[in-house]
Amino acid sequence: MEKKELFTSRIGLLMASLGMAVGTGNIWRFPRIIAKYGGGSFLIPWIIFLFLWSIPLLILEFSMGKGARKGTVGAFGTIMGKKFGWMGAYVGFCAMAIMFYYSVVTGWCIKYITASITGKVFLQEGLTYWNSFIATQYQPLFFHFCAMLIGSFIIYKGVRGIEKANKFLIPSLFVLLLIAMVRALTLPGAVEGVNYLFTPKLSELFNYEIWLQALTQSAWSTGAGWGLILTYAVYMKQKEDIVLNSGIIGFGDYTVSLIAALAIVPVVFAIGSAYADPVELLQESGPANTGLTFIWIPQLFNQMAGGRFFLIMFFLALSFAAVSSLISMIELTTRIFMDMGLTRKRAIIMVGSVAFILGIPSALSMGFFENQDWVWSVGLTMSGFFIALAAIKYGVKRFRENFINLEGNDINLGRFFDVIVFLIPVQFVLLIWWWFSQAGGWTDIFSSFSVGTCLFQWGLAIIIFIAVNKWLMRRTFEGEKQ
Amino acid sequence: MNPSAVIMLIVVGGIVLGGFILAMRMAMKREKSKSANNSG
Repeated sequence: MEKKELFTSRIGLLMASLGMAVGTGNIWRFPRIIAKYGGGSFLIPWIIFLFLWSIPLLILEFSMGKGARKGTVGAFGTIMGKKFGWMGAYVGFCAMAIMFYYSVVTGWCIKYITASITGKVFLQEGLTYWNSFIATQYQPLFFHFCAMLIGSFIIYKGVRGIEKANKFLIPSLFVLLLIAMVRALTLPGAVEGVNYLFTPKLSELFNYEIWLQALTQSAWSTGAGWGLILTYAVYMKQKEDIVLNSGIIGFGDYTVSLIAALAIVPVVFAIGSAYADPVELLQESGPANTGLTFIWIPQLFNQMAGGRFFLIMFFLALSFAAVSSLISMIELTTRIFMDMGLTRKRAIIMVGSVAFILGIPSALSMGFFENQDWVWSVGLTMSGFFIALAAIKYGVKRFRENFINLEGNDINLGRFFDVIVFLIPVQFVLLIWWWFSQAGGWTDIFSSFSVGTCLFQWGLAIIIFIAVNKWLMRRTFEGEKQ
Repeated sequence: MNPSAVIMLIVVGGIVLGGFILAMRMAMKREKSKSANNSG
């Protein structure tokens, strides 16, 4: 087996991992999801899932990648046994399916750099500009193509490029978000937005949607269950820490999410209240919610001295953050094909082309985009379930001793971690049961947000991967021998 | 500002930001002691 390229320093690995975690998940997705699903009430399950779902899964993923030195399919085959390689294929495919529409979001970020430079974004009201951009169709398609091209090119150059770029970009994005947050909070009427974000309504905690969306958002944003950390861990040094790094990624990601929400939601109350009810604006489904960050951030910077410069910098940094997350998705898929014996160049060309083609429907139709975001973000919960099952099948205590508590690890885990790992499938089963028993639409496979559309798409993927499992395993493990 | 929002902001912000700062400090401390051991 060829010697793999390794990260040169802990800071490099951390910045690359944070670069993967800090992206549009915090800045585009978190503000719109918390705004839509209850504000303050949402925060309670969201915090709980950080400790009971996301950080434990990040630890498991780091350990699986570092232990198996293979992508998701190979790691499941090594740790769980070759009969279960299809679970790794599902985990990889789920991240790949997200990549198809994630590239579209990255394209939106790139488009907004150009719109900020020309100043066109300031000439119209935010929602009008956003709607006219989405309605053109050829523009989202063109920028989706640009995003996939840039991502594939960077990944072709190797992980050192990611390491170098993120050392500069993550702090820049953080500083820009802080500036945006301070300006947003000093707008007249912004306090109503802060109240909306942080006032819990306990009755809403009896709504399954709040819990399901909180879990999904936690996983989507931190990268837990994606298989991305597992893939990065393939390049980790043997004596690298796992537990503390997972904690830093989880807490860092959540911190950026809160700052992003504080930079965007109060603006809707301060500026949007002039022509509509801000709560309605936030909770409405459709383009207004999907484009929340793109609609309101330009209006916020328009209120500032030097706003145009800051807006350009903001979308530049957001685009880089989005690209750094996108390249980790391309790397994950590329790694799987490389494990199956393809050369890196061929694997990247194949993944880039397929991702562009399968992302086209999301670029052209907002309904299709919303369906994919729903199906595969909730699908991440099943990925997390499979990863926990892998550790349980291997033996959680044995897994902890053989893959986590090794030389170089800063914090060794005790038996409490075993209990948390067993709680992951329990959380998954309870939440899915709650959702299935409350929601309708079991047979409605064409509805954007139904149970049926999820079952159909997940089921199809799982059936295909079970059917080709033997072939997958043969290619993956024969590829290793070559 | 709403009192329950203030409490929530302090609790959630404290957990998240506090956790991040603590984890970063620990990581940097460990890294320093590792490099000191290596050079010694």
